[in-house]
Amino acid sequence: MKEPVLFWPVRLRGDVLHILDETRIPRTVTYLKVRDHREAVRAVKEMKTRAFGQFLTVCYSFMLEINKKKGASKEEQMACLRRVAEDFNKSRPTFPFAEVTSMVLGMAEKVYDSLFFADDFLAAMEGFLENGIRRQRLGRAQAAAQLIGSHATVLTHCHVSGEMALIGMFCRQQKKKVRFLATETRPYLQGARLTAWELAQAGLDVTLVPDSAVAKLMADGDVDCVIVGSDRSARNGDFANKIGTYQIALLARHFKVPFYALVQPSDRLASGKEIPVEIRDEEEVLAFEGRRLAPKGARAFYPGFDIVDHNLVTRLIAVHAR
Amino acid sequence: MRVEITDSLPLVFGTPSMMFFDRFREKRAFVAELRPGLEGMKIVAKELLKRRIEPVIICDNMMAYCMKEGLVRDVHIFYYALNKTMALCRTGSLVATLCAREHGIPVYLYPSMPLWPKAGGLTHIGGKKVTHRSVKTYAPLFEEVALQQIRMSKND
Repeated sequence: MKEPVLFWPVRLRGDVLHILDETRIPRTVTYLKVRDHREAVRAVKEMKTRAFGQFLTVCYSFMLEINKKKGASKEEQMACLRRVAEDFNKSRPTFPFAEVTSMVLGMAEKVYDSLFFADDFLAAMEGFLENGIRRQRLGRAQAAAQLIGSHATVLTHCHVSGEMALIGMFCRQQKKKVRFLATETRPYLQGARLTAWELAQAGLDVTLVPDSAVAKLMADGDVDCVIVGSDRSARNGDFANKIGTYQIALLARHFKVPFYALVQPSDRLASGKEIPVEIRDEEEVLAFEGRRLAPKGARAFYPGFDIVDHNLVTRLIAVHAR
Repeated sequence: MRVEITDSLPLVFGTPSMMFFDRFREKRAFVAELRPGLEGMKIVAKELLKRRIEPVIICDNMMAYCMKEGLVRDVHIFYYALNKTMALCRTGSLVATLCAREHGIPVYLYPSMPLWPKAGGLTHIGGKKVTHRSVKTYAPLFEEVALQQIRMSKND
């Protein structure tokens, strides 16, 4: 089965990090070529990549920088990794950068006594990404596909970095006919630009719907289940995802529609109340790609994420990163 | 710039009649943008600005978040047709109503401006194409809201 391009949107080739520019899909599939971690941080801040792409960008940035420091002392190499961690930790609030960077630094500390510190660190990271993350995400998509009945309609919100297309492909492998409804996901339109595009690319049946139509679709009996991703989770099962997810979860409960979330469990936070919600620049709502949509004088409020209480979730489908 | 919301505000979901605007005595209000036509962002915001009321636009998917955070005082929705049990409203009014009920926020119902929402349009925003041409779209214009879900009805 061919992995969708968005399933692994960041790759390290030699001394260059190739980050899929998600803001340019579906017009073109292009990669930003990043040569140091500060450029990678900028790509994250500008939302060129997001969600799982951010995770990969962090991991590969450590590898990129250690590659460049191969001739340096271990102390210098470790100090370089700490600088990478600090810069990512300051980039965006909702995604758990500190959690990811401390995990990577922990891996570096484990091999610090090795004579071949840089090589062993790189090997550990490669093993972690390939055998841990990639395999676990494939398993999570398979587990989600098991929950979907034949002839079911799945509603999804935002974008789950290639996993929704994989879920559809696993369903097809199991001879199940599945239809997807992708919400637009304003203001960045990840549903329109990414999810609908990649599902259509995979030859799956997908219909794009406005965020406002979810209650009508559920009231009309057009939704059999909801599957969403998550940006951050808490110990009690609460999770943060793109703005609008909480609204859909409330409606799913009202209309008795099963609500599934693909999560990365974390024990750092006790509950979703501890997850900070990023409030972004109003221009991102008032304009689209530089074109003003609202009249002069209008303001906008843009919370980037919301928190879904675990009580609203039918089942969490987890990938364990450690 | 990031907008700070310090008080709870009314939320306008739909396209109100001129009578509503003339009687609306607020300094600031949340206005749902109303995809796909963006009539909230364009027409409703403009009418409020004319009356020196500051519109704070939110995307249609931000309503529940704002309610949960205590930022919404009351919700105003608008009907195109009405019978004894149901109001025919702009799609999304049911989302606003059910989420408001969940958060204990009152919902008020008024007549809509005689403006037919724009059909289609999900493939573009601000004239820019946002999805691939092979993607199907479905944007229902209206939906029914049960009157019993509305705490109070203010018919002009």
